[in-house]
Amino acid sequence: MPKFMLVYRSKPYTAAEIAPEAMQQVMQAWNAWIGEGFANGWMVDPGDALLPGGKIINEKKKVSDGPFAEAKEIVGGYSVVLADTYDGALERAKSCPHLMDESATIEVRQLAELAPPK
Amino acid sequence: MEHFFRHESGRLVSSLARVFSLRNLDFVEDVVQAELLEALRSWRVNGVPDNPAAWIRQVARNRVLDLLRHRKMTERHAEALHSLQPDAVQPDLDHVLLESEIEDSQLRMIFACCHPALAEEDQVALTLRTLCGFHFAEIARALLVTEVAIKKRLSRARQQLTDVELEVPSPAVLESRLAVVLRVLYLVFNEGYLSTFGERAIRQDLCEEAVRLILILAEHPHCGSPATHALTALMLFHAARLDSRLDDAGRILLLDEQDRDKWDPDLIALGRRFIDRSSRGERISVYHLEAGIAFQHCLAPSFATTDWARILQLYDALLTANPSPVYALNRAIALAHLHGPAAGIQALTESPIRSELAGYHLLDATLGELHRRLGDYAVAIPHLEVAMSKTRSEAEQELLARKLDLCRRQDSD
Repeated sequence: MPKFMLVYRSKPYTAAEIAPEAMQQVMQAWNAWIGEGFANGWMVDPGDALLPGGKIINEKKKVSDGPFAEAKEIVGGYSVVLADTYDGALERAKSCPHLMDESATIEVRQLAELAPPK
Repeated sequence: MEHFFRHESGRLVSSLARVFSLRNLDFVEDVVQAELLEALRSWRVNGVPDNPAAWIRQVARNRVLDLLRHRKMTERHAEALHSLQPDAVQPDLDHVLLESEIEDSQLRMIFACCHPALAEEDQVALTLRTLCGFHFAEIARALLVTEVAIKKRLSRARQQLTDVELEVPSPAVLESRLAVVLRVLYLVFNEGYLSTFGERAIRQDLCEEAVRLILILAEHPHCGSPATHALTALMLFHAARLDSRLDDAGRILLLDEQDRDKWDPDLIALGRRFIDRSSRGERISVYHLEAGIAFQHCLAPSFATTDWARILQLYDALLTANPSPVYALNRAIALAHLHGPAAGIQALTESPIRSELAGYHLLDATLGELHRRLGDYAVAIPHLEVAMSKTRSEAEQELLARKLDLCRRQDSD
């Protein structure tokens, strides 16, 4: 079955904006979603969340800081799921708690699953 | 796990504030908020650890030491904390994060948030924010004010607290300081219990938070005074009936309409234990009397068997202790149940409360209801209409509309 990567994007939020109660609801929704994915066999890898900040290296191997908190949108995490078709993958994405965040988008991409070099 | 993040926020802020003092409360809150976010990130992927509180405290400890070691903080915080060396802070940090210290930290924070230098409304907002982990928007929703007003209120309150020590007051002033704390918790509870505005969930949270905090006081050897125990009992008796006061559609159910099987017997039993403990003092507080009234309702197996004579005595005592018009109104209602609606109407007409309660819709609502019971529909209807025009609560308007409907149908017969 094809594998799809869900790439989670959103506005970088500052911690102060989120109420503890909202955090808890988000966490519980994620646990339920990931649990359901494993129980039904479509979760390949729940992935991980990415910490804010980071480094960017260009082709000249020059290292710079970023993305910054001022960025409009940053990648905040990813998961890998199984689905028969793109539509199926979109259905998984629609049920994903990442969309509880107002500014959130999910990029849905099929893995090429190229064979590793012999 | 219910409300874990909110409660842990309050516990951690209270603990860390002991190390960094109230002057740096914003630094402490930033740390705690970052900590909760880290827990969120980790737990949503890895699941919740067996002991989430221990996990979060350990990570908080390490983060604080790391921040101090590498000065990873805003310039303002760096300046405020420049004299704090991580090695010197570590023992204090380890101490306040001990499980056995958590309640004591919260207790100290309760006294700080309810500091007598603050206005009552600031005390309430600060308590909800700092101890209960409510967000600005939640406080605004709970107190029916704007978020901007709440932010202003909180920042004003914090300015006044910068030099306040986090400690349980000394015996010489404990009684007067405790009285302020009890008053604030009473207000928080009533905001949830008496209000018929706003969302049900947030009102229930207010009641739960007030109970959670007063239980910390009640179990403390010096703060567990008879008045504390009486207020605890009062809250528990009310909380036992909380769920039965609205039907599934959110309509108000009055005492005679409530399903008493839905009253929580465990909370009533616990309330009784606190009533017993509250009787070990010499002075009777208003909380004793209010708890006594709530207890009478819980004791009666049905509305018809309510001991209105005893309740009337308790209202008489309340009015002697505190001649509040709201007590007087409730006394008249008890009187009407005991001696008939006419007696209630007479009490309301004679009493000076009539002018004091002029703008209060419950006076009109009560007069309307008492006249309705007398069969004086022509008099009842205008009272109920006035009451309806004075309340903005949809639930109360719905209740009054039901009463009006009864009157009009009877009146036309």
